[in-house]
Amino acid sequence: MGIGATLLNILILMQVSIQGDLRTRAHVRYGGKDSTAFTWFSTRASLSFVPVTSERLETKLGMTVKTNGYPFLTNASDLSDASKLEPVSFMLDEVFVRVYDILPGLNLTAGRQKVHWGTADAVNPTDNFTTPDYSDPLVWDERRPVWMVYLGYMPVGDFGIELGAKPIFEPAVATAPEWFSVAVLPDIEQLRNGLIQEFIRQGLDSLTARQIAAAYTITVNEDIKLPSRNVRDITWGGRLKGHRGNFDFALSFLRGYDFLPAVQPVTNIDVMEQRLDFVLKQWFPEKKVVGAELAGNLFGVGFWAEAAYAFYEDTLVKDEPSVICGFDYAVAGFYFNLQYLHGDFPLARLQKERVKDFILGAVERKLFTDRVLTRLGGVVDLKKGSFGLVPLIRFQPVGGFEIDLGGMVFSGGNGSAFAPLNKVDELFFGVRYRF
Amino acid sequence: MGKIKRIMLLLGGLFIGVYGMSAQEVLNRLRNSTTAQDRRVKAVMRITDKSKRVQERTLRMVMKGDKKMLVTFISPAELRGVSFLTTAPENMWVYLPAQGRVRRISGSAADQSFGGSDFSYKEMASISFGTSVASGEADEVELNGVKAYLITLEQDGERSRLWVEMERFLPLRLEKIARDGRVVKCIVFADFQKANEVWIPRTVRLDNLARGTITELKLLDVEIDVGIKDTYFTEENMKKGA
Repeated sequence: MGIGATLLNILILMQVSIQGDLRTRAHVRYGGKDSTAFTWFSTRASLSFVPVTSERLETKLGMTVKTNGYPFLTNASDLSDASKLEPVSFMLDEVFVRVYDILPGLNLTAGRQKVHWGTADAVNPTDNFTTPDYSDPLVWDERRPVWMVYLGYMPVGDFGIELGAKPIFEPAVATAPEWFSVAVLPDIEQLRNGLIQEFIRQGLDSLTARQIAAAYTITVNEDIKLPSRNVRDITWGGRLKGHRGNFDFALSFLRGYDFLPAVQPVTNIDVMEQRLDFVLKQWFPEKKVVGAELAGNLFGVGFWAEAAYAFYEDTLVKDEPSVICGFDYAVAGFYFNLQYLHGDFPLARLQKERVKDFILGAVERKLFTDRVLTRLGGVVDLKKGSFGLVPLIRFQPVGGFEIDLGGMVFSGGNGSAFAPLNKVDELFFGVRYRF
Repeated sequence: MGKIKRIMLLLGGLFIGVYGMSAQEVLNRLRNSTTAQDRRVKAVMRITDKSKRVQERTLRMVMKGDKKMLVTFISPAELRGVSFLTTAPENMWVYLPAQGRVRRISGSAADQSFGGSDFSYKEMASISFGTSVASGEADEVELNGVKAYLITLEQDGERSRLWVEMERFLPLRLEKIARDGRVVKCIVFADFQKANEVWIPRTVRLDNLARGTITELKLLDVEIDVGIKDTYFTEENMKKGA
């Protein structure tokens, strides 16, 4: 009997519940210069093992195997390298032990887990424990689980406190380069041209400036630093939450880091050595975030608001507020969801000058006794009017199985939030099965 | 049943014999006969669509009185671990395990489908009539050969008609009425079983006349008065599930 079969038998004997989630999706870009290119191809299989333990103990072991885009060959010998022909990554999902009612109402979770703070949809400025995963362009609020210790205490039904500590910082997963990337580093020719312009500005004629610049040795490097792994550098925070009447509210504080790096270009010119060294310094700014949340019901309309103020320890990064508020409403079979955001929207971070004001919205309608979901989601940059739209039709022929057909359309002029994505117009097809 | 409660019911009965019953009195008697201190239930929900396709959901429910309820889906896979909590008519939340998130259900979102069934969140929250208000007099009628009271209920501006069995004060049939007077949903309660002096309907069938679909909730295992505390109904316990 093979090891796999033995393991499976052990899991069955232990009454381990196995949950699976299989997903595959392909995008075809039909707009712009990459017309008809496959820009996104992803297949992932997630398995979770949930052993039946006791009423007061919960354990979970989750893992995902996913393909990483396309075969990547640099020479013929790579043809014998399976990791280049079929690039696959293995990731740990939620892996934790949770103990319920250590004291009445006190739960402790240790391990890789997802903790969610915030009342808004898609963007949560108060949610700073779990790592954002921007790799999938369709999913704007995906989060990776992180290793942490988490205490939730609700001794009475109306009020509670949550405390968490995350020893190791894990940065955000960036947009997949196959789908979209922006050049963060200048190339050598750009720097040489800059050097020529500098010499001309200092009074040299164009020909001499070019001759001198041509003699320069130019280097381009990146210097990226993660926060150190000292006890004093851990991410930690707490949240007081409660509800009264029609309202939920929460106040939170977190000491942590930005999930995306701050950048500072540093250029050193050594005239004697005729040398230009360009270094792009990148680091994850330390911050303290004070957050407030509210959700409730006014005149039959559900609403929410969430605000966070980030105080940076770093003099190079400005303190900044983020606010998101919105409402949802269901009428005549339609579901509407509309939000205003003052803060960062994930895909708009590709732009150098970050736009801060957006409207996010979605309209949904289920048809054929809920077997078909039609949805139109979108985001508009309020400053320049650039926008992204994501129409979707989801068909569920049998329970657990979904077929997705949809598109993505972006439009934006120079300086707008979605300018880098202008003409990123795509159709996508995907299937998903959960068991 | 306590001595005082028996005396009150007896006096109430004498009063009714002379003057007839108000709809609210019938509703109160119904609550007395069907509401346990608490109950823990495993149930199967079968949803039949217009083309007779059947979907099944398994769920666990914990209830205290007629207002507090925590429901957790065990199957199907796409709903596994999703929990619904209600502690009062205006307080409903859903826990989404994939995001580790608790979301308040408020406003018109409370009218949306509960787990793809014909029950809305609001209807699930008031399945024990804990939040209903009756008005007017109770009419004495017959329903399928059974003597019953017919009363009118109001909740958040919505009107329903409820048939209550006269002998044991059990709910028989509830019709939800739209503004134009049409019956849009019909709920039938059946297979009553008595446990600890409380009558529990083992089958609740909802006919969604507007959509032509049916949802049937069958209670499999029912435990009554197991000592559930009020503090059980918290956000933290939604992660654990019912």
